[in-house]
Order: sequence, then structure tokens, then C-alpha cells
Amino acid sequence: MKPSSKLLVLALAGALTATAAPALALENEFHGMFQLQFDDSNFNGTGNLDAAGARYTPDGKPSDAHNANFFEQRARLAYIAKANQDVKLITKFELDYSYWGNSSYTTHRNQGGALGADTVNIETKNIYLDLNNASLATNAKVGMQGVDDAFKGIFFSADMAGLLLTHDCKHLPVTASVGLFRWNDTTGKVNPFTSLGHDARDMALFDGKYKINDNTKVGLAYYFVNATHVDIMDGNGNQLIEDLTAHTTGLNFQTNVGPVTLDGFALYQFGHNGSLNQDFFTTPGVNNASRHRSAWAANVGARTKVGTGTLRSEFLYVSGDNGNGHTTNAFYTPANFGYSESGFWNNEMVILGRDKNGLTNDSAIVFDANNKNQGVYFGSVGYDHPCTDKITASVNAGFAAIAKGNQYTSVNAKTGSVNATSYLGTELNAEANYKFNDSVTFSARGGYVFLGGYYNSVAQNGETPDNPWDVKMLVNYTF
Amino acid sequence: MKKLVVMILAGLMLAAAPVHAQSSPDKDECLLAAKGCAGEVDSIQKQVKKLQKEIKKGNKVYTKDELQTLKRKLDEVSALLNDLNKPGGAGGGGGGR
Repeated sequence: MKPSSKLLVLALAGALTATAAPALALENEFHGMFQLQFDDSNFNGTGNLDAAGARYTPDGKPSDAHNANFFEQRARLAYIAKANQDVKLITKFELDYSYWGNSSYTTHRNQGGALGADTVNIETKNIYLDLNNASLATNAKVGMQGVDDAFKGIFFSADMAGLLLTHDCKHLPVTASVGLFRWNDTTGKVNPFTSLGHDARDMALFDGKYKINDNTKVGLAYYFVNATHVDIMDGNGNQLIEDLTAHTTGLNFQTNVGPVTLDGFALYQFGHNGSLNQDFFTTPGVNNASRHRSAWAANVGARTKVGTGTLRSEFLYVSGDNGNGHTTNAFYTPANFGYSESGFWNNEMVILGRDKNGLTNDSAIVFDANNKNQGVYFGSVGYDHPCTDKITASVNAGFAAIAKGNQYTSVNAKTGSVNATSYLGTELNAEANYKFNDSVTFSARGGYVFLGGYYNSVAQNGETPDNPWDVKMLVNYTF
Repeated sequence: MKKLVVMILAGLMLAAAPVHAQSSPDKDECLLAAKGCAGEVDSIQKQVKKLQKEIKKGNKVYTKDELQTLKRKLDEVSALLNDLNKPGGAGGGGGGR
């Protein structure tokens, strides 16, 4: 090869190398939160809860539960590896001490809060790939990810493994999502082993949103759950079988009417309980098999500026079932180990509904929209006030009643039957927040519930349980 | 032959040259395209504030596509902020996320 030709080849090789070199610089992002709270309560952390520690269950227990006092802490860490703005790996982890002093030198989530610590307790919450294609106006999320329903979380609000595709229409103000998720695969646990994927609980999702104008958005969502002989286990580690199909479809909206912002939804759920299906509210589980499903729910929320603050209100209705007949009107929400994988926090309750500050110790009278197949009427009103640049305060009142009594309804120990009233109680709560800086906030929050006639004489010796109360002091750092 | 090689070479050199989008001193290239970022990552609250500030500059500074990118990033960062403080999610009474 002539020297001039060699030079040409070298130049060519150099140019090709330059063309092939990626213009990528991996960007690492690290975020997280830490929360420590002290809880003093005759509700949270007491014996007045079910086996999972979730649902208020004072039945047959002493009416005056000893007060619990405990410190609880949580840290969440998020690491995001960005190849560029369109390719990201997202990971999220959680480390909890359910209460200081619980154990040390062990291997279990929520443990290690005792003297000596040294516990393996890290939880992996999310690991997924987030891909974006601007020319197709489509985003894909693949892997274990957090997903919320289009109904304020009353159906599901959980981490789940699957694939979610979201497309923004270029010529219409429409966003559409489709997804497929595998919630559980317990093949071989209920039936003899067949092949993976046979005894599974899967969920298919469609969620569409249409922006009519700057003031109004409407949405249509449809979710299909197919659970075949899945072992969802009760709070004590015993087998519990879910065997059903549930189609959930509904409309949602958000609009501004003068100074008031309204949002809400209406949904209908239908399907069928298979021949092995069980309820998980008792140990062992009780058969709730070979029945049709037909349930509905509706919600409306409103908020408006009043003075320097914001006045808020929520109303939620969810149908319930009396336990008889060929059709159940109970609203299906997914559960695992007796916990609910849904949640309705918009009403800002502390005890009557789940507390937004509930970490590992997360208990409520109405724990989820299913509410032990009883359904619920739930109303609330609240006011948020920015006192200064650093201090904010809120007050809330809530009212709840079951929609229908059934075999899980509390029984009056004196009469041997359920009480005539379905009223669960009235909650009053208040909170104050001090913003130390952009990332750190100190808060105090307290709630008190005047129990309704539903709980008359349901405690030990036919007594009525004491009214529940809960006070928390906390510090939160988010970065 | 040589001419052909030189032409191909010139073409490749052009292809290899980095293409710089029109930049303006008012644009935050770190937020927009992860360019020229300082050695430290902003807190999540600072990212929200910065993105809101840049989006407010609107069409005078950013193109329509760039504004879309900034809005998408604001949605993502806001969702992450909410997700980190999502209630529940453990045993001993849990559920949620």
C-alpha cells in the first residue's frame, strides 16, 4: 500500500470511529426521603386491630385498650440511571423500622430497630426501564413499577410488575395508556404443580384521558382482573384462595365551575367468583364462591379558595354486600396477606380512613373501599390555611357509615345481633406543619373519633369501646 | 478513485461533526439536555422550582418541543416527589405503596 493510501485509510478509520462514538454521558440521580415519627394512641399499635394490623377490630376485646407509644421510622432511596432524557433505569428501595426496639441481628423487612441493629431489612419497591420515543409520542415502562388507578386509588394503588404504554395523540388532546401486569403467580401452591402462569392473577389496563378545554378533562378507564386459584395468604401465613374475574370500568372528570374545582368518578364492576374463591377477613378464610359480582362506586370532590386558605370536601359511596344470594355487590379490591393494595387518602383522615402519615403501622376503621364487603358512605370536609411562609395548618372532619351489613359486621354482645345503626363514627383532626427549609418539615397531627352506633356494646362484656384517638409528631426530609 | 475516497471522507467528517442545537444564554441546558451541569445534583424540590421557572419563560426562550420536554420533566419530578412520600406499603398493617 502506498504511503498516501495508508494515510487515507487512517483518516477514514479515524472518521468512522468519530462517527460511531456515542454522544452519551450517563447521568446518575439519587433522591430519597426520611421520616421519623412518635405516635401516642389508643388505636395504632394496640390490640384493637385485625391479624394484619390494618382494620379496626374491637369486637370482644377490652373496651379500654392500653395506650401505645412508639417511634417509627422510614427511609426511601431512589437511584435513577439516565442514558439520556429518553432512556432511564429507575430503582426505588425502602428501609423501615416498624417501631424502635423491635429486633436486631435478624433478616426481615421492618425489623432491626433494637439495640445492636445489624439487620438485613432492605425492600426493593421498583425496578423498571423507562423508555420515551418523541417521534412516536409514546412512553413505555417495563418492569416492577408503581401504578395508580383513575379512581383516586380506591381500586388499586400499588407496585406491580408489568408493561405500561402511554401515547399522547399529536392532533387531539388525548392521552391513552394500555398495560398488562402480573400481580401474582402461585402455580403449584393451590393445585398440584402445572406450568408457571397457570394459577396466576393478572390485570389488563386501559386508561384514556381527553382534555376538552383548559377547564375540563374527562377520562374513561377499564381494568380486567383474572385470578385463577391464587394463594393470597391471610395475615397469619395460612393459605387463602382468590379465584375470580372482575371487570371494572368507569368515567372520571375534573372541571372548574367558577371558583370551585370539582373532580370525581363513577364506576361499575362486574364479574364472577369461581368455585374456590374465599374472603380473607377471618382466619381461616370463608368461602365466597360461585357468585356473580355486581358493584358500583361514585365520588365527587370539591375545593375552592376561602380567605387565604383552601376549603376541601370529598364524598365517596361504594356498594356493599349482605352475603346472601347469587350475586355479591361487594366491591373487589386486590389484597395480599390481608393488606390492601388500594387506598383513598383524599379525605385527609387519621383514624376513620387511612392516615397519609401511616408508614408500617397503618390502620384505619375504613381501611379500603371494600370495607369487609360492607361498602361505605364516606363524607369529609377540611380547610388548609397557610399561616406564614413557614407554617401551615389544616383541620378536617369526616363521617362514615357502612352501605350494607353482612356476616363481618360487628355484633352487639348484649343482644347477640348487629346494631340497628350502620354509622361508624365522626372524626375530627388537626395538623400543623413547620417548614424548616425546602427539604425538611416538622409536623404535629392529631385525630379523635366519636364512634357511631355500629360499635355499641361490641367489646368485651358487652361494653362499648372507648373512642379512638391518635397523636403523631414527625420530621420529614425529602431530597 | 482518490477523488471518490476524499469525497466519502469529507462526508464522513461532516457526519462525525457534533451538531449543536441553537443555544441561548437564557436557556438552562442542564435541565433541557443534561449539558453543562455542575458536579452536584439538585434536590428534588430545587428541580421542581427550576423547571417551573424555565417553563414560565415560554416561547421567548424555548421552542415548542423544548417546552414539551421541560413540562414532561416537571411531571416526572413531581410524580417522583409524591411517590417518595406515598403512604403505607408495609406489613403490620400496610398495603398501598
